[in-house]
Amino acid sequence: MRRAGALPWLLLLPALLPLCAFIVYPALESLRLSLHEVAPFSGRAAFVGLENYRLLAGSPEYAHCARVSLLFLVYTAAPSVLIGLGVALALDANPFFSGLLRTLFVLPVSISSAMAAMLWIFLYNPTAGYLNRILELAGIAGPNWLGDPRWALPAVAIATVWKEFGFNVIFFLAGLASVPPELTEAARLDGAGPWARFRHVTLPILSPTLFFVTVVSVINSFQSFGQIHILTGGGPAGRTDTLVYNLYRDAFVHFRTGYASAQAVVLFVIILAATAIQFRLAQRRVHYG
Amino acid sequence: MGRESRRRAWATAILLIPAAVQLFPLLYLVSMSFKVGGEVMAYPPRLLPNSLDWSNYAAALRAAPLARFLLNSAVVACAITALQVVTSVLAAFALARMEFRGKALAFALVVATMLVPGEVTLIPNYFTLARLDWIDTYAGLIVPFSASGFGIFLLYQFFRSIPKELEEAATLDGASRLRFLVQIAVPLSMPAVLAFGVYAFINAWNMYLWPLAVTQSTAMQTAQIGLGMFRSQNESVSWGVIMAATTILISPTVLLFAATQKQFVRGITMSGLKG
Amino acid sequence: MRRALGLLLLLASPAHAAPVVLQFWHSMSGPKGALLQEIAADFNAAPENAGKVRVEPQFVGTYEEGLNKLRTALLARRGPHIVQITDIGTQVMADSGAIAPLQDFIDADPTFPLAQILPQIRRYYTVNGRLVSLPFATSNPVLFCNADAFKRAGLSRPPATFAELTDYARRLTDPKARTTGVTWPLHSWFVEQFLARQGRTLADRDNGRAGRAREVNLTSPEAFALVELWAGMVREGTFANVGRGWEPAEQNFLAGRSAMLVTSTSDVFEIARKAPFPVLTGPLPARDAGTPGGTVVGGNSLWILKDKPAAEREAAYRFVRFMASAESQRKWHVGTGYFPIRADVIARLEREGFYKRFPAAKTAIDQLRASPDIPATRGALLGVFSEARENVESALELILAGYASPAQALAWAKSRTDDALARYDSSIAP
Repeated sequence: MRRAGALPWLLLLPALLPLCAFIVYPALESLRLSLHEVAPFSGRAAFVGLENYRLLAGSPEYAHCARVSLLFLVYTAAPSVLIGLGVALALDANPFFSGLLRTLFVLPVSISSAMAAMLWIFLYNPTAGYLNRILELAGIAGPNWLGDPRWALPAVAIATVWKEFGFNVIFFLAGLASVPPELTEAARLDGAGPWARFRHVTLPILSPTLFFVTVVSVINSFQSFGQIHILTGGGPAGRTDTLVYNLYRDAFVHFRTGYASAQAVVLFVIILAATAIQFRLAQRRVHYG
Repeated sequence: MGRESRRRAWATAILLIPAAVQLFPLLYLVSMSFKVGGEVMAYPPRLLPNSLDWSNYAAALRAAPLARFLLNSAVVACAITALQVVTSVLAAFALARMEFRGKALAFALVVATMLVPGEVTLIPNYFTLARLDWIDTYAGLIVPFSASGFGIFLLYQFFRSIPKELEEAATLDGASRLRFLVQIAVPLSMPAVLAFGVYAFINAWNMYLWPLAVTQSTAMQTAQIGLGMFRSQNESVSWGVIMAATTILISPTVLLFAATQKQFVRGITMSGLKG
Repeated sequence: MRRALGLLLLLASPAHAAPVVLQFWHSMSGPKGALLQEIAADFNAAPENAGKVRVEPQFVGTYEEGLNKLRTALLARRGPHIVQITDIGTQVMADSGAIAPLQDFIDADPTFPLAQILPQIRRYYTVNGRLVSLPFATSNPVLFCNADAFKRAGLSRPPATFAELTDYARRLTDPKARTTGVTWPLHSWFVEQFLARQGRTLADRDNGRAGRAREVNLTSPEAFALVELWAGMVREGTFANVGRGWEPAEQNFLAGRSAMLVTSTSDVFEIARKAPFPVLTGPLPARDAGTPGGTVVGGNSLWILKDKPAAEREAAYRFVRFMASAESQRKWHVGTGYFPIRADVIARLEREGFYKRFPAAKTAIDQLRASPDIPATRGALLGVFSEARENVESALELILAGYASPAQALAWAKSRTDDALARYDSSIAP
């Protein structure tokens, strides 16, 4: 590739301008506020140094939120990547009614997490919810999904995966479309079984998509908000209180701007680290065309 | 032929159960929206409503100007989508196919913006908008979202996988960088551009905290806030009406999505990055 | 810029100019939101206002979301004229420095019907001896009973004490039919109300009314008495713990799966209308027959913001006074179930035989009027009320799930809340 003068910056400018004004600047602003204690209504800020970070480091509740976030990551990102891949592979095998099936899988993607949560709140309802009705018909007494500390996080995760894995299906399908059928056919003629064909032909070609989908799923999981807000509000007993949800409450319900800003900075660093690790792993595993 | 049919049958069978799981909540929503009075909370719950009673829909439309909310959502979501697609294509192309000083920094900045939790930006952005006098305007709802780190990152991935030979051939033919972008790179990455467009539209359609903060009149409120009007607030609400309102408010994106499905398929089959 | 120009024009032009537009932010959704719009329209249509003042009600999300939106707007000096705020936001609002206390307007207006407002309601919104806002929607918790289930169990009246409640709940539970005796939402409000019913304040310094509260009484004997009653019934299977939110418990009751329900009176008409069985109501059960105590007023109030031109503030006050009028209060009470704030409205409805037809609506009013004037029934003023509620609810969930003993969980909730109180104090202090 050759050097290109001012052109690349001209192309970048329309994107960088709003990103800097509406994301980078607010992020830097929270970095500043994280060193202050801010009065709820007047906005008067007093410099407190690293006090907010010290509070965070010493808070068992915050450590608990980190564990919840990690668990939620395992419950949501992994299933939505794996189910998304599985469904995309099955769809790619050209099933009957493939258009209809594809539509079904991706429909929930178009619904907001808040609206999807409204649906699930009713399916999970302990009195008239259909989920427990189905279990009851099978002879199982269903739990109070959203009210039971053991079940609340899995319940929120199920609603999340339901809504989100279709999104991954779309990208996997796009990736699978770029696998040349002649290659898999050749591998089949060489006597490679389905697994070997997937492992040695499909997967390498799919690896940029897989990488992309994984990175996005991890970020989405860390930033999940709407469904937690509506389904459980962080409860029961803090079992669904993720880092972002805790940040939301401290910032917008408890009006602890400084403390919440410190949480934002920490959360940013955590997501950054998770993403950096994935990029590092990807350097070895992802094959670009 | 026999092997092909068997494979198709297997794939269909594997997909049946997950497809049913995906569909059930949506059908249940529609069913609930026709349940009236005590039917909604009857125990044991029943799958189908007793009758096709439209009164919940009438009540939902009476309780809030849903048509206006839908129009606002449509204006905002379309504008954001158009802006994000254009800005992302340009920026991703620069990052993926050009060499320049500061490229690593620009790329890092773009990826970093994906990592900033959205909640963080709310208050500083509100201040910026107040200074611009954009509170309670379409500009206030749209401009802060005119670029997307995600979109740039996504298209970057696709632009990068376009074989170098293609670009070399195009440049030998005397095509400029921009012509290569418009005539070759974008068409080749059409599935990704379309997918991102739909993603951007859905995200814009589904925004909640930001429109809630910057709108100050019912005439500017969006569909998501409309749904909030039906949500319970220390009061008994009628679930049937909520479900009717939800059905009305999700229909546009669901239908749009069902329709653009075909576009995806076409885009995918037409492009094929097989070189 | 456009806004500033508009304002200039408004000030410069004579009386026939464009009307004063008042922004009114509220959190009433569903049918209650529609009724509120209707009352605002009545104000706009009144001859003395038509063409001069116009109120524009705007829904701003839940109470929580509304308060947050207000704060963001105030930081940028973009607040509304009038805002509806939940009861538990009273201390935060009083400390905000952004409001004009209602008392200031009342002092200058002898026509304000202050004497008609029930003292129990007035006292909740009185901070440092001054009425800060207009109590608009007010409620308290009432016990609803499924009369058919009571008849089958050979019971005839609602239980009045903790012991009776436990006993009735047992007799009304039928594991074979999958029905339980009693339910209420997992909400801190019930802890607060049951504490007041036992004459115990939620916080020290007279519930934070004789100086800012320093600690909450979550480890008091009264708190343990309630939590043990609650957890005991859950253990026995006679209480249906359906979790947070107001809906699930009400639904459980209406579906006939719990024979008794404690919930806000603001749903009284709705419950009477939806229940497929006759409904009996009773006051909140007391610990013992003779315990002195009562209930606390819940609901929301209307605040006037100060950062507006005097003429607009005055117009905002006129709207608030309209919301306190007998007509508005009657409309709101009959249309929702919140009780009226005015004695004359209640007396008039009583004369008209309204409560003969809806005896359930009277229970809450009788309970309110029977509440003695003690610090416990005035309700707590806490700057960190929503945090306190989260702590209480988490503690309850741990206890009811059997994950922690009442002593452990309540001590945890108390220490978290006390810390938050101290922190709030320091963030407010000049």
